[in-house]
Amino acid sequence: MSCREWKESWVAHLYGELDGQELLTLQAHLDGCLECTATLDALGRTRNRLRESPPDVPAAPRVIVVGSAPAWSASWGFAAGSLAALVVVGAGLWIARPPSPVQPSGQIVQDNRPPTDPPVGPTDRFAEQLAALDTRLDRVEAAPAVPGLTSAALRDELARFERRLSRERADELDYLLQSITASELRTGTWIDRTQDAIHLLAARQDPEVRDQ
Amino acid sequence: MTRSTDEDLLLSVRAGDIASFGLLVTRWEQPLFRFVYRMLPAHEDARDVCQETFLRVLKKAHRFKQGSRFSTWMYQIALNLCRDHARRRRRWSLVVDDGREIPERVAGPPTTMASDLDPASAAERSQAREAVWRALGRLPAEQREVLILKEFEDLKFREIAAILGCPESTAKSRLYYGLSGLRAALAAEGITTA
Repeated sequence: MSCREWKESWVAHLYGELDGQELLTLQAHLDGCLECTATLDALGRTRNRLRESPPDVPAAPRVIVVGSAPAWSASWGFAAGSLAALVVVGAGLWIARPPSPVQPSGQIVQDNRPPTDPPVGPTDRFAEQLAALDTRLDRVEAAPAVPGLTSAALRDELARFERRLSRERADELDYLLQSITASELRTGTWIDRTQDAIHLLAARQDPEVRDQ
Repeated sequence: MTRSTDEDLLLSVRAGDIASFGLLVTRWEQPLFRFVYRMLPAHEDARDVCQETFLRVLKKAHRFKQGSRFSTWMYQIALNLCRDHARRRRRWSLVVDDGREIPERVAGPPTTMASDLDPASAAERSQAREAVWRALGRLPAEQREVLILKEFEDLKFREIAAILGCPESTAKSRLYYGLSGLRAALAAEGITTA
């Protein structure tokens, strides 16, 4: 057995996880191998250096879980729908709500079934979810005061939450716009960056949607 | 009254008991944040990842396998999120295919001044700490993860292997190469371990 093959035993021994026969075997080897002894010693010094410089970890934000909420419809394709549970971080306070089954948020147009409602495109779903999110935020703001939670702190964190959603919203929209551009380049057809174009692109990408 | 185990609490969460989720959060908010912060040393990023970890614990409670350890599962979720976050943020040095080298962006831990040291010693200690963390940042992610889990979370190799989804021997091997690589990286920072 070459010295390198002892590496697992070295680290196990270094962290006190070697015992019994394995420990005796390693010790017997170390008694007669200067190279392994030196390597184990070097590993120990490196470990000590790391332990001497632990990261300064700031205090963790406190997490508070309050109540339960009605079902939350989620559509994972869009920023507003990316939360199955509403989590609000406020001055170290987090409010988590249990998830709910995902509700379908659009219509599927089948060849053999006349649609009862017009197809709901991605922008319509997005608008619905934003409206639902506003309702949720209103409900959170109207919730009974939590000890230690000031309305100013909650407003700050809701603002942060909205900014984050805006960033995610922008990312999603950017993805859609890039898809439109790619489609134009691929097909040579100029469909422009309009809401109709977004509807058309999303509809074409949905395998359940057929042209009428 | 005996303390409920993490696994018992999670079973209650699966049954819809939000209070049990609150208990789990209370137990793990600090340790989880410390771990995530060591992986992504930026307060807001760590807070976001912790938030997402607890969210996923809540949403995926039904997927927790009975007989498993809650802490292992939670660390797995957090670690995957840290990896995703690091990939998105490209926190560590990166070389692109066209030969351009993106300047290294290593977010080390905040420097602090120890109150019991004179300013010169404290500054020196702070610089040494930053150098150690830069050296750690140079390691491959898989080695760095094992080092952090072992050295700062004080987990057994068996637990680390379960979190990483690899054999115990692999975890030990990564730690060996991590320590060896760290030694070389420290030397490159001008820090000897003699």
